[in-house]
Amino acid sequence: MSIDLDQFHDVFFTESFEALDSMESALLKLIPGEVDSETVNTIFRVAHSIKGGAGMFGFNDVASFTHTLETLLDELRAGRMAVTDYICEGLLQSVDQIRAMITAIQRQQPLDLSISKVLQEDFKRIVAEGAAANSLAAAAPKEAKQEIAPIAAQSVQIATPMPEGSSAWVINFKALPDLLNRGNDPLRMFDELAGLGELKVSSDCSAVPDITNLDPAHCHILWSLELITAAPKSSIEMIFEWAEGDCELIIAPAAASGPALVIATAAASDDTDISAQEDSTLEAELPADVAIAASAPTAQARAAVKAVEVNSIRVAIEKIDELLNTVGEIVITQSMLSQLSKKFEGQYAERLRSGLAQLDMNIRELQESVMRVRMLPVGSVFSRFPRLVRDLSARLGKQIRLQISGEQTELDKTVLEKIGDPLVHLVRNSIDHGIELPEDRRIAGKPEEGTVHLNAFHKGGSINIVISDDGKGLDKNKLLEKARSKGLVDPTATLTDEQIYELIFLPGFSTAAQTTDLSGRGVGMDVVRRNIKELGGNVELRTELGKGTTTTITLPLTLAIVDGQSVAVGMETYIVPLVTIIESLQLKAGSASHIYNHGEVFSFRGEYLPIIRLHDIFGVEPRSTELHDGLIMIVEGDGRRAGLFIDELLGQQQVVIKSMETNYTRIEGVGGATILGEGTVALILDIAGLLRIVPDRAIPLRTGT
Amino acid sequence: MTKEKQKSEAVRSRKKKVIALVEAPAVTPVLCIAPAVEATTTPRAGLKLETSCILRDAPDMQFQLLAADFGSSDALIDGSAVERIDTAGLQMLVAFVHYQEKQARKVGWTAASPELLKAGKSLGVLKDLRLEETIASGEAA
Repeated sequence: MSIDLDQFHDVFFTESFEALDSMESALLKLIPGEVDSETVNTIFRVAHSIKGGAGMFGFNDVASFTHTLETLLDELRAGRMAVTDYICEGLLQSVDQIRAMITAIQRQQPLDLSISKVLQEDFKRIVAEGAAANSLAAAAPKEAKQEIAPIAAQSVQIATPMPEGSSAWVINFKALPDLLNRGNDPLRMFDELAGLGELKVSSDCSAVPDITNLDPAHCHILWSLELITAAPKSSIEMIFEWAEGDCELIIAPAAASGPALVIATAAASDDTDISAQEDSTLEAELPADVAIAASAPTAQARAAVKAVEVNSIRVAIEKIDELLNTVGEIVITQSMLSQLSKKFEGQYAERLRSGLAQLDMNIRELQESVMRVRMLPVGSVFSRFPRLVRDLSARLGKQIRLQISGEQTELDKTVLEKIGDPLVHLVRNSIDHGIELPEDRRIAGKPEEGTVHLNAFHKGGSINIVISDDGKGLDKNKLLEKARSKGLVDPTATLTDEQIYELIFLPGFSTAAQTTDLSGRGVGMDVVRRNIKELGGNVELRTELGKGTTTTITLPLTLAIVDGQSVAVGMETYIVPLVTIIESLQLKAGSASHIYNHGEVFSFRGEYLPIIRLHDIFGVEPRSTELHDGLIMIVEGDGRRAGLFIDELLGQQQVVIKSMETNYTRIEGVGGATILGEGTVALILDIAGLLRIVPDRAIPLRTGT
Repeated sequence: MTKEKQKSEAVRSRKKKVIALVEAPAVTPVLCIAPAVEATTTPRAGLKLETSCILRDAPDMQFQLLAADFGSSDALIDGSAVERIDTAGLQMLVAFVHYQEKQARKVGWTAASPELLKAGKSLGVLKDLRLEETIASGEAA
């Protein structure tokens, strides 16, 4: 029989992926030939934590692989082996491998261990060769390290003179019920602490029940640790990072003369940020000497406790969505009540309306707060690019500097998840086709090192992500020539610069002379645009020959609400997303024409646009079928334009999107639904989808003027 | 009932059965339920710990420790085979020591593997495991 740890797998997967991201970032900071023990320590800790968690959950292949990796890292951090380009590359590959293994486990797929075995053998060989190359004198301490020190010598007296630049810390640690189940093993954490310096561990096992009453998954041991280290406090905190929320932790500086003095010093503090109740909780459950310290913590200790308390919690996205949905319902109900209140008269009517107005304000604030919970910094997506740029530039023999800014800009989680692939495509294009080879750049009078800049910022109610490079840019004449040769543009048509740049987003369009496995096959920019459009965003490209290319992605802050224009068709109301509307106009009688195979069209600023009669699409009775009786709303989706025939414009409003797929079924041309103030349902139009329903009619016919 | 509750109920009911068996004098049913105990537990010869003493194995380990019958002898543990042990495993051993000492039985070790000693030292529980004396007397493996 064994304990069912499956319920904690998701937490392990999430934390492992996050940890691997930070390991990758740290690896990219490693400079071959230079000793950066702090960075190596960070990498080691991640490998060690994943190993511990994997071992605990029975993911033995991951545990075994990270164990080998850890052995190599141990050699590096001990300075017995130098960091080389080869090792860096191997370590980066091992990150990919661990990620792939964990992904396979998460998806319950068989693990492909071919690469990991090769890497493992390689690491073992590197370690063995390093050990052989080291002198016997260097090998001796390694052997000594594996021995179990005599018990009498295991305690490091904190009164021992500290090495220069070292600090002494007192760490009090108490496990909370789920600590062990979540793969956080104090044993592993303390081993890591010991790696930072000299560690003395005191345990209090008095709370451990006898074995007949013991729940094995619940840790009852309390610890007080004394650490002498040159490492900063952040390094200590990082070791406990994975246990955040699953333990009570105090990290406080100790005085060099011993724990007694710590207590005496602590008593002198009068900082009262932490409530007495919180102190007493710790005091009651910690060992006696620790309890004294906890009863009157130093300012630093209080700050440490405070730091632990102001931490984050992990919440399933479904719970947040459920909350957001409920808030959306409240918004609708409130809107209905507001409309109803307009019909009331009398002495209380005004007070009712005033109360409802206040309620409206509060609900909007609540809605914004909940939506902010779903927001994550775009840096979590940007963090994958240093590795990408490093690998690709090395492969292509280019020198490229990646500049990242605005990584703290926040985006909705769903948007963030879906924007990763389009961004990868755009950055790859910049590296592959934009930035020139060093020699070509020198000839062009540019620095040999090219720059790719990723930037994110707020603009209006949207988020802009800009990918720019100082490469060779695109030749608009070549673009036009290519488009004409492919029959995508009328040979006699004159296009503006903007229209020429738009060509790059046409399916199958590529100006690359040679295709590579990175880009240039003409598959991609159309997909990039489609993906971004599906997120309710837009993408634009600006380029200047010889100077570089800038691609700007505009994204909505959230997918939960949309700014829409309400329009009436017969008795029905539809919502058209504002971002898709170009303008609305009224046609004169007889200004529309019928064209064979293209249905009704009308001339709009030099091009013929198809007319889509919404009443036909949705099968409703319009007020009039005469185009001059209603309005034409010019909309754009997926780079195509059309005129929607509607009866009337009603008003603009922010609406909460209700998923059609979740509540009914997916309908092409409908992005979702919403409930209006009067309680009726309105469909939110998906313009790109709508244009796909009428593909023939949605092809703009250029007038050539 | 949630999966977690069902699990803890199952563990608890198993514990109850085991406790009842242990509290009685050594009887055959114990051996029927846990044949491994028969092979590894004999008075004075010591209770031999398994190679893996981690959280995942905790229920089996708890069962083995509870079923151990030392009669009127000291509780002797053989930890020479332990290759993997974590905090949960060490805590289990501490709980076992508590229990045996409550029964006025002295706990000693016939051997302890380097992995066990290293882990005990890292967690600062060697004294609670009564392993300090064992090491001092040079009996550890």
